[in-house]
Amino acid sequence: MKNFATFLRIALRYLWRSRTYSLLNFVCLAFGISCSIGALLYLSNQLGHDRFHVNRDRLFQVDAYVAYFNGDQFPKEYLSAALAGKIVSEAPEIASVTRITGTDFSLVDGPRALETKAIYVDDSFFDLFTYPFLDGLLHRPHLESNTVLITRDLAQRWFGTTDCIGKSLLLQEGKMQHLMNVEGILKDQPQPATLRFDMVLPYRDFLAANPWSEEIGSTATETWILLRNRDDARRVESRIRDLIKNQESTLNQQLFLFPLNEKGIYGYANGHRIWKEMQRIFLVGSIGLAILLIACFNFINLAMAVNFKRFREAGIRKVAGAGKRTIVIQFLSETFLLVFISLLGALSLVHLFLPGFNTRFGTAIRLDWEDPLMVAFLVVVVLFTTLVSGMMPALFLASTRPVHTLKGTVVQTQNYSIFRQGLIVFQFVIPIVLLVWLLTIRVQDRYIANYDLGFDKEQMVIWELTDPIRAHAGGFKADLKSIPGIHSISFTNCIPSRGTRVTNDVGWEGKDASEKLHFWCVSTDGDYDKVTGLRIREGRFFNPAFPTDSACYLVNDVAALVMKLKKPIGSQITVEGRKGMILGTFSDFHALDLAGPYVPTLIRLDPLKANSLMIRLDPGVPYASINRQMQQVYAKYEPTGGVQPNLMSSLPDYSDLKTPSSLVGIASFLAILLACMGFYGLSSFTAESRTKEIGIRKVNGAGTASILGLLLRNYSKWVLIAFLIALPIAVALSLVFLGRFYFHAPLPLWVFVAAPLMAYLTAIATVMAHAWRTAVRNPADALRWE
Amino acid sequence: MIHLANIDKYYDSRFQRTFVLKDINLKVNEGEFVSIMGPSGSGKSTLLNIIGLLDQPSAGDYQLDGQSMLNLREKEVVGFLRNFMGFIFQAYHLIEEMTVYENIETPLIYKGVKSKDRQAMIADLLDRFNMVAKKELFPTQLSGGQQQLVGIARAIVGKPRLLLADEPTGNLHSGQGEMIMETLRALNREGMTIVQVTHNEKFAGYGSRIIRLEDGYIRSDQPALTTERIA
Ligand SMILES: Nc1ncnc2c1ncn2[C@@H]1O[C@H](COP(=O)(O)OP(=O)(O)O)[C@@H](O)[C@H]1O
Ligand SMILES: [Mg+2]
Repeated sequence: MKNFATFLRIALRYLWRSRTYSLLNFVCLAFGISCSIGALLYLSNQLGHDRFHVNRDRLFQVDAYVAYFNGDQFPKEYLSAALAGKIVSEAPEIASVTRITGTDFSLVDGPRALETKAIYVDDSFFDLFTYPFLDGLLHRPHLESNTVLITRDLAQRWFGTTDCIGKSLLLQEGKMQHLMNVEGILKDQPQPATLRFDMVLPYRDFLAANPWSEEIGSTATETWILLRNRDDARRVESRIRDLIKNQESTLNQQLFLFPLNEKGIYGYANGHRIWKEMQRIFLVGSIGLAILLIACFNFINLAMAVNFKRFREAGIRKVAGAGKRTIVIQFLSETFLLVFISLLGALSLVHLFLPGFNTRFGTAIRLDWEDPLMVAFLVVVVLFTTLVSGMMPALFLASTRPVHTLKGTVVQTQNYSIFRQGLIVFQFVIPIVLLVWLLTIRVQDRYIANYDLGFDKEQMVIWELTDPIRAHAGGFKADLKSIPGIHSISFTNCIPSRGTRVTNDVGWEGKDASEKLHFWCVSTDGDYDKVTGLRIREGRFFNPAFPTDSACYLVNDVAALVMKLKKPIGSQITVEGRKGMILGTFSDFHALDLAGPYVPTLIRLDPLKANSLMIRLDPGVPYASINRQMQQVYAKYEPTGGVQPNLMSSLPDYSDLKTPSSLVGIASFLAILLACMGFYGLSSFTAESRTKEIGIRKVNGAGTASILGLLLRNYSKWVLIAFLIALPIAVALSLVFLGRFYFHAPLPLWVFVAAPLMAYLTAIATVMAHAWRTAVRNPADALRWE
Repeated sequence: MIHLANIDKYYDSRFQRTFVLKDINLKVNEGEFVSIMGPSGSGKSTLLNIIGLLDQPSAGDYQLDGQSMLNLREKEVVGFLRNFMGFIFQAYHLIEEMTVYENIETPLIYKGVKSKDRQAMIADLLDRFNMVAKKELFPTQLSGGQQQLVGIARAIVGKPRLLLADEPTGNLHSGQGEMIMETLRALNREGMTIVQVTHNEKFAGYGSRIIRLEDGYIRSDQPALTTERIA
């Protein structure tokens, strides 16, 4: 005990003596450790979803693969409500099944309204998913029509109390209202969870209101099963695989099982499990580790620089009878002490930044001290950091021979300095790679934002339709049209690049009966071509002057290709039972976002199916002034206020690069910050230890500029080597990243200059102060020290 | 106690072999106080380091108490350093972050002496060297002579049988130097074997025997008659 106190006292004296380095190390390690803790919290949050379900390992969602026009298979979660019964009779391995359909309702009470998420479920739902109840309700409630179970959270928000069993709720869905009776209260489910809901409604109510949902091939409900034995999954899958196809051969769909365990982490496509969230999980994990490693390497570097003063001490201790192991343990313990102090700093940092992180990324991560995994992780991180950071310096110290160190001249072996320079280089490789990546993400983000869809997004107004506007579409459009500065107006269900309705009910001459291709179906009016700048390849767009056009279609080149039409113009096709002639073909039209290829697309004249209004302004016309006039017209047709229009450029981006961009952004910032801190420490050390050499050079006539050059050349060399190593990694990473987008920016070469330059300039800026002070120092001062 | 036979020490550089010690034959008996003298670079420190097991001879045989010191394992060397030898250096080589007390305590900790016993042993020494009041000071707060006293205290606190001193007075003015030499003589009279390196004829005379090195050879090995006369 006394020995420990002595050790602690002396170790703290050492930390204090080189306090600049200790502080640098402390800050770096605290940052590094907090990053790794943050990464772990994020990972356990992502990977630990739905832990509270007792049957977690035996729960599967039944999904279907749907074949895409180019042969790709994509999963479909919502299936026919009749499927559940059939699946159970096919596979005796299934213990229980439930259907789940989510709907959004508003709770209303006079002027008060609250948006809520509801799910309709079968009674068996509670056999599969073990949700705890607040008070002594039966474990398997039987839900009568017009009864509802609500979460404690909703009860608190709506009633202000959990004592509300027997009270009634008024649910509004569009124009429909349902009066429901509160039957029970569920405890709030621990986050994160796959199923998110505020209330649970009886499935019979859903069936009653949506009789179509039991049709074959309908898109109505999620279907979840509980297996008696989790190993039966493959067998069940093979039993039910072709259930849909056997019922209706034109439905080219295959059923498969999606384990609850893999929800929120993986996805399925083309018959394979694919990384989805896993990508981000991997990304966050490796970034956390990389930053921790940078911090460790900083420590090694600084420790080795500072320890150079301690070689003598190690020698003395050896002469006094210390074995190699004793010395290693002593120095490792000192590292441990610093790492431990840094851990406390890191925990404070995590505490400080967690709320902001949660808001930014929509997560609900928290530090849970009762989680043995968390505590174990902290122990591992501390030991890992201690060993990685402390082992090398300790071994170097312990292996010194007193004959050398006690002479006063420190023999810096070649290995030793190469090792250290390698570390510096590595520290810069990581930030350079991250910066390149960050810039590439930004470039792609801008590429998508600025992509030419055929019109100027700054001059395109999107207005969601409400019922009053739909009812007076013609008058509203004509009144808007009279406003000067409006180029054209179109009612449509497809804002280019933001998706539209899909159908597979398309027939054409020579179609193979087994083919069940999907087509994206744009319903619009006769002005869609002017509004969107549609590129007509052959034929013409709809002309309101020809009433027969309303039964006709336009198809894009991809659709013509998959239909194998030799002469598309004039061919007859049947879409959802409506037969008509192809008037023209168009190309370069993005019905979907830019991540995927052009898809087979049809346009038909059917403005009643529209859900939005696209208003194209004349070039240079300011939106603000037009908006005022549009609002006046709008108020005439929509007295209740309706919804506000939006500029297309201000709509949230469809392909979300914001999250990866800010994650990588934070990471590169931290990485470069840490690398520079290490660089700073090292440069201050170099400046210190080269004082005499530089003094002699100056006495011999070297100018300030040449000394400065000498110092900076040395630092530049390291960054240059780091750049050369980082380059191939960064190129590969950028190519992989861009390759995920079907439409992507060309590999931006400038980022490979900009990123290293940023790293270099930041690095030089951090060492400049020291270099300058060293270079201008009066040589007499420097030499007097001797 | 010490028996060196035909000891060579050389360094091989790319083109040539440089001899630092050449054919050294030396016997030191228990209780002797030997002074090694010679010009700078003649190999005195190297010889002392070989005796102290901090360095290995390139050729020859070295026996300590009849036991061969060649090719010892690291553990065995550590054992000898702990239990057999004490070192004193020209540059004192105290650890600056540790107090006088802690510096003296270090070898005892490595020897595994219990805290209680350590206190008693260190207290004795501090008393003997008149440094009780200075035990909580740091080395930089002491004069050179006092620092070297602490160095000696650290070297002898573990009761070694052999004390090796490499120019212990080299950094001291003569008054302090004499005090250090008196201390060494007293230790020798109590039975401790001492080998010291010195440049100072007078201080060499404190020993019972003077060995003169030149270019790695032993040029002479004589009893220190002059000192006996002074004493
Ligand atoms: N590692 C080494 N490599 C080459 N020569 C060495 C080495 N160590 C010491 N020497 C040489 O050995 C000679 C003797 O050194 P040393 O024993 O320290 O002399 P002294 O203590 O008598 O002044 C010196 O000339 C020195 O240059
Ligand atoms: Mg010497």
